[in-house]
Amino acid sequence: MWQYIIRRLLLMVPTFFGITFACFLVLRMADVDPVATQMEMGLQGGQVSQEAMEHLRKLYHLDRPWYEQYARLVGRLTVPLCMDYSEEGISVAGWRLFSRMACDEGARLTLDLGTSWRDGRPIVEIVGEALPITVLLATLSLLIAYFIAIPLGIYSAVRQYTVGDQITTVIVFMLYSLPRFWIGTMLLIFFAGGHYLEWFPLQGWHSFEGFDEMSLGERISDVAWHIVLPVVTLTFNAFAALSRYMRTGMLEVIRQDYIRTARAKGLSEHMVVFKHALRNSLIPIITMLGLLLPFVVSGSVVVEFIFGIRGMGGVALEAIRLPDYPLVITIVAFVSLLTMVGILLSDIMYGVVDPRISYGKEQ
Amino acid sequence: MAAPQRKTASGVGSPDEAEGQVRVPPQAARSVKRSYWRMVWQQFWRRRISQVGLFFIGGIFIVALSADFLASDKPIVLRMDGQTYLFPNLRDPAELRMYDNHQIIDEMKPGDWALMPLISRWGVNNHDFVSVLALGHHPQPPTRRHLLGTDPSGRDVMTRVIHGTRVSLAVGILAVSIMVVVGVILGSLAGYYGGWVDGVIMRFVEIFLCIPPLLLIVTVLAVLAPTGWWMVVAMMACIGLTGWTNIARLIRGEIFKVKTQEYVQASRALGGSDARIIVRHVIPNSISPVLVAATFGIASAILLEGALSFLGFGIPPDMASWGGILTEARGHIPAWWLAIYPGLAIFITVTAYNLVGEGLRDAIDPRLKT
Repeated sequence: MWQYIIRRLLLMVPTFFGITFACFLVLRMADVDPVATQMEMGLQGGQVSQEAMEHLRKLYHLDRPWYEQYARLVGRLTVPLCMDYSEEGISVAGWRLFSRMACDEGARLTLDLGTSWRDGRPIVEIVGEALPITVLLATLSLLIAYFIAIPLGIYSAVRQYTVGDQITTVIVFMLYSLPRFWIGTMLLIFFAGGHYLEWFPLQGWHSFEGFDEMSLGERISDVAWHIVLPVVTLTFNAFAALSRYMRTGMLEVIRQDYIRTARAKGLSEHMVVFKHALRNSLIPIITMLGLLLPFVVSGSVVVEFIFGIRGMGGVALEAIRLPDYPLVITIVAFVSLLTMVGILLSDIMYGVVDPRISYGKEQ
Repeated sequence: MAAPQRKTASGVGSPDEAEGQVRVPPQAARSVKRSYWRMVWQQFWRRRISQVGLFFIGGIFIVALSADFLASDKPIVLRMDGQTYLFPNLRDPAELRMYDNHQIIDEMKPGDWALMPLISRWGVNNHDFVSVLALGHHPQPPTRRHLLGTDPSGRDVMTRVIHGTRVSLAVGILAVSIMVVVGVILGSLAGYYGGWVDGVIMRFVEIFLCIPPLLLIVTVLAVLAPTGWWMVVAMMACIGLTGWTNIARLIRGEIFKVKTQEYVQASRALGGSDARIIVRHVIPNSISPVLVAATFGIASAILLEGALSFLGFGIPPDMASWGGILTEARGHIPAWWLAIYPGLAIFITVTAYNLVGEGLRDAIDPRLKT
């Protein structure tokens, strides 16, 4: 088991470099001059002389050969910790604590992933701002999705071929095919536009005015009010897919011999379903959690675009548009690392919950 | 390398040859070949959901192919000034370029006649200047003049939804063809050879799994700067190149199961080359789950195309695409007609493909039947 995990972790190393290199290659092939785009977008403000642009290019190492560029970009990611002796080092919540312990007086260990080309801010700071709201949206919607999907899947499977099952199956099937960008836009039009119902705000995940003066309770309710529609949008698809998995899993288990045995020895149907069948039928949808891990951090570009939320999806979209090399590569590397870890986790979970699967030789 | 690739591709294209050589003497092989796929077809057709799905897909295809006959600002056949124009709606002849159907009708003399499309008022890129001048650049709600309303620049939503069918169907089908070809080739190589070949290909699978299609499309846009239908082709290529990993993994798993079977060993004992074994025996016997995955793949490719157009990447605004119409709705909030109709079109298409996929899966692999 441990051997298997270590081997899989080691295999991630070439994949990691492969992904970052592929990403770098794609960016290079685009051959868009980030400095020029930046000027066009007016991010640096007004007219800029040729010398200034040359200076920026030099600053971004765009004048260097490609291998040096790649090494610089990825070097930051592989050795993200550096000693910072300056007063105003970047520190992220947990890191400050850790760095105090790890370093001698006067120096702080900080997480440095380079700076964004867009506005020259450290990437750690940008991601640190965007990540919480994305994680919040994703976890909330997944929690809700699981809470609806599990009972619905059980009901549908236990009452197979009844009218109730057929109706839920059809509804779930249709929800499954609903495009997320459509649900989001429709919700926005009918519940937030102010032309039909003005129940929810149009954009953002918190009020822009007066948010800083609010007390904690007010802030929580303000954010909750803002994220109702995005969470609903995200929940729709996830819940449909999950309840289909749950139903299939339950149906598979219910046909097994040990369920027949349980019934034969006279257990109540309730006992059979919730005590014997449920546990095994949960396996597929629990292991799916691992595969959903990257979604939790990458978020949905579409949903964040519709509701004007600046989470990871929004940041990624902006970064790709520029293109902001360091930011794009950091995000892709981060998300793909979690994708690989997620796949590994779900494989391990499979082994833990299902002893029939072994990770010995030749997987 | 070139030869087995070509063979693999043709092996995918003609699944009728599948399941042939299994434990069957040569003279009987032909009837068995037919009966496996006939059985699948019977199983498939027995279910109402597959029938409904296939029926809708057929309908959508008809709409896509006849879009110019359903909605166009040029007549289908026109007899004017002693001259007959055949299919001006398709060919857009220079003499008629300045006219739309209304002006043509106005200029008609006795003896002239025309066969008009169903919606003859608006073409894909006809701006209704009358309403734009009177009411400004705002989308107009459905009226008798525009049955499904207009977009902000005064173009008819119904015409654009009808013409948008083409983009979605083309993207769905061609993207999945790319996925299947790449996925089957790499997946079968990995599955058949195992060892380091498998290791390398699986690393590639992981790499491609993690590249966001958005990044690839932005790059292709920047490098090739495609226009019109080339944009659609570029989009299909991007979706196809990021989506093949699933199919590769699927066929790899199948081949792991198949390659130890007796008939593969028999073929090897008879001196069959690796290429021959893979193309003639291994792939045909593990292709059926790929068919199912491909059908679901079309549905998700259409969704992805919609999402990308919605984000403003991809299909240029002068081409009608469902995602492109939908994205206007976000900027003009009360205009529900800009959202509901293209969304409905996407929804129906995706549901139809999913239904067919469901039916196909049940027919091919009864174990998974729910």
